[in-house]
Amino acid sequence: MYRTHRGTWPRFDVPLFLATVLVAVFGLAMVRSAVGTSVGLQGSVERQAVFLVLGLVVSLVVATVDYRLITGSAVILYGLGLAGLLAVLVIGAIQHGGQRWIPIGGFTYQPSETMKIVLAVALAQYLGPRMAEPWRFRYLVFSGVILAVPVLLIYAQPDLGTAIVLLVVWAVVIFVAGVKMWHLGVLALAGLAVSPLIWLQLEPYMQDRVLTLLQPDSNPDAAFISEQALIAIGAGSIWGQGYGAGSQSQLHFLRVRHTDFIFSVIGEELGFVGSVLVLALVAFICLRLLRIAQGAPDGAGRLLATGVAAIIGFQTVVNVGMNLGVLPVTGLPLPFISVGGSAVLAQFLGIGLAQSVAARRT
Amino acid sequence: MSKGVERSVVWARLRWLAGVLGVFGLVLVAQLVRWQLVDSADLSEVARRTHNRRETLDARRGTVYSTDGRVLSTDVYTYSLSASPAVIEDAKAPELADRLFPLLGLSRDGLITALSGDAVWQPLADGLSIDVADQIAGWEQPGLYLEARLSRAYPDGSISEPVLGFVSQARDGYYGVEGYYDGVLTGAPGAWLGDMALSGQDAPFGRQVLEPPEDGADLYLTLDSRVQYVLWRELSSALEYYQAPSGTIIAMHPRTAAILGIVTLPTYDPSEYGQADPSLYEDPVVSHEWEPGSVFKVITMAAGLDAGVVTPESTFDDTGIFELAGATIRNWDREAHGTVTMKEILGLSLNTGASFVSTSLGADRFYDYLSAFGFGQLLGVDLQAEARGSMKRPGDGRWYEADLATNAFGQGIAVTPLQMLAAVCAVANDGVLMQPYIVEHRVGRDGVSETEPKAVRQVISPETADALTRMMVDAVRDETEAATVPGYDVAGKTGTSQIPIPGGYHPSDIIASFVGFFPADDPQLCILVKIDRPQAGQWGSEVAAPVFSKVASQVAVLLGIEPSSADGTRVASQ
Repeated sequence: MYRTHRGTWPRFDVPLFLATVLVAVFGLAMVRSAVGTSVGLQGSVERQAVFLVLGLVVSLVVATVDYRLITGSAVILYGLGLAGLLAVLVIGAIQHGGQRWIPIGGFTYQPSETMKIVLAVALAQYLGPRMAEPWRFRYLVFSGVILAVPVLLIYAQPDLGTAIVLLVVWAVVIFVAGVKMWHLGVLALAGLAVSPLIWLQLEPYMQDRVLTLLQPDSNPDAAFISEQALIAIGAGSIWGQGYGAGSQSQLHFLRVRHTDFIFSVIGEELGFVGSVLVLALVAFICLRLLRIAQGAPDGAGRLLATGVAAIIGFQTVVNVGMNLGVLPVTGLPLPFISVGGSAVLAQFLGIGLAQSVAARRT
Repeated sequence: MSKGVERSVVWARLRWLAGVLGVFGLVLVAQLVRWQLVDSADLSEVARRTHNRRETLDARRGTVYSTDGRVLSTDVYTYSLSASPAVIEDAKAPELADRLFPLLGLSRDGLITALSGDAVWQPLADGLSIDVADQIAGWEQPGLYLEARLSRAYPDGSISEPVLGFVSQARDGYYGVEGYYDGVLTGAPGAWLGDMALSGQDAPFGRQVLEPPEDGADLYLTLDSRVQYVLWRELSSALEYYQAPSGTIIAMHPRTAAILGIVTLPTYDPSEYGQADPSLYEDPVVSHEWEPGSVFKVITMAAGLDAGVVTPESTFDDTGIFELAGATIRNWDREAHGTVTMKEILGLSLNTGASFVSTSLGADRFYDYLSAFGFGQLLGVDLQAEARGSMKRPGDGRWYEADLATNAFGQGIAVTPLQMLAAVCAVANDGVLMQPYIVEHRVGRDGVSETEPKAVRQVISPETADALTRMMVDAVRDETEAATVPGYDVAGKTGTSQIPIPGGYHPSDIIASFVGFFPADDPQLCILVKIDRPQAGQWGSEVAAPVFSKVASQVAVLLGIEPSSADGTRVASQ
């Protein structure tokens, strides 16, 4: 095990720390390339840099705090998280077709990003101690309620992508918490049974995105975005067209290239090698998080690290899958890389919590 | 305490999670392999095609100037106007149409219809001048679009069209100088190369390369616009006066064969070539052949004199009839003129006498001379679509012995007006045939290139040329007073050609012509007048000769040709 400082300074997972810093710095460089020729996006590099530094500080500070203090405050945090989501619905700013942001000063805050971590904390607090006992069906029900409230609030924004992230975090956490497999099976069957109902409940834009993936001709505009991403990635070939020299990116054929489609910029400018490197780094982070879960001193720490791993891993898969045209277009960011202050802060908060768990491993 | 979840189960489930993550990762990497390694070439090609913009920049076509510095043909910017009716509110259409219709010369109602509705693009007018375009642009009306393009303008309108030809919408030159010098005038287009952004505009920080166009060379013609105008005015009034449908006048410098003017009527405005009768496109001066008739006797006589078969004073007994190989040649007046000299044969324009000269030469020598004068061949003039003419020769399968007799007075042989004039100019030029040309010099990127007058060959001796010139002077003075030019000795010959039709010649229509040069002792100007099918007038001497006289006297003043006295000595100019 890596133990840098004994005693007062916690025992960090140094490889995890280095990997996150590396991804963040690399991501910032790619953002700079992506917005370089966009007059309207000037300043976003600086803003993102500020958030990344802020995120690093947050993760370091949180790492020094015993995570049990935080999971112990789960009820308060959960309440604050829900309050944030409610505030969005009441006073939130409407941007990009969704009501997801709360303006604070010159910035906008997106409570649903924080909610991902809060959910992991809440589930860890509820299920962690109960891992010492046999799994009960009511755990499933009650944890499902903990999940359902924020999911419904986020779905109302509407933001299907984030709602699904919460669902996945819950599923992964109860899986590790020892859910009986037949409970999961029943749950999956039930989900399958109600899926037509859910489909009908979906907002038209959500249906569109799924349909676009299945039938690219059905929505020319969305198909255009996906197609341009694929052209960019394909044009990158093995070594890429070079940093700042991707024609799809620099000539603005790639839309939302600094957020949702930043991976396509990486693919175009740094090629297969760069893309695989980014995937490998994120995979490494996820594996480190799972390893922290493995070595956690208690159930809460174990589930907390697992939840953070789920957040990072699942969002990466969905975002990259969207860039590669195998998953529908959802607004999920590429962790540590896509521009977005709330998301970056939440991700570093999650890393900080995991580091705190790591520091207290037995 | 009851038994909780086994640690081994938790660890197994964590490994499961890692495994699932690994599977997803492999799927994504497989996709990367597919797009970045397998299909990369195709996608790169798509990207390259989409991002590279190439906008052609038209080269300016060279300008054509007359020798006196007038612009005959040049490139100007004209504007086309189009509208996007979808952008224009229907309620505004009538008001907009009110302002537009006087400028465009279109109907108000038609414009209202065109401007209303939801069409994205609707062309309204093109060929608009910069003044009109400026005015419309000044309104800053959304939904109206002006686009500039280079088009050809011909300030003289139709007058010089036969020389110029026209430039098509596709910017290709056809006929005349525009056709012959198309490659020189055209230049090379340039290009704007650059990265194109999604918006269709230049990428703000993209690569931009300008390849400037190379403009075409300018041409300076030997054509004199003042001479051209005189020719045009005189031909117009002659056609009207003699009720003739068409005609041609050519003026040439006999020493160099530089063309000073070419006018043919009818003609058309080359800027509206699309509306013109395509049969008018060819310049009759170089492209149309005609049986020249008696003007050709000058050539026959030149051959006879130069070969020594006859002298100006040789005599011939004209019985009114000349027979050869079953053909019977008669004179224009159907009369016998008794014993006549060669000089009189030319003056009285006796067909019998001309046939006597050609048969005295024999077919070989006669046709050798005709070839030497340039008949039946291309002159190599720098005007497009030149015709060879049609000259039969013994042994080519089309020639009959009787042709030797009829060719002598310009029947059964077809020539272009320019061939005829060039041959007579050779007589004026001490027997040396010059190659006619119209471009004096051209100015291009590689500097100035001057056209050197080009001697084709010495056809007849200077002595023969001199003797023949005297005979032609006498002929004009004694027999064709209408062609004389006060103050100058004119050498010339009339022609009245019959018009071949299937099975013979047209019973009444003729082509009247006169070809001549002056001053006889130092020829400065050589002119051919050809009036087709005059309804008022039957003879070259009656129809074409007076036109020659009018043209010659005016052009002599314009060009400052010094008069000669009646006895052939020059009068000192002031």
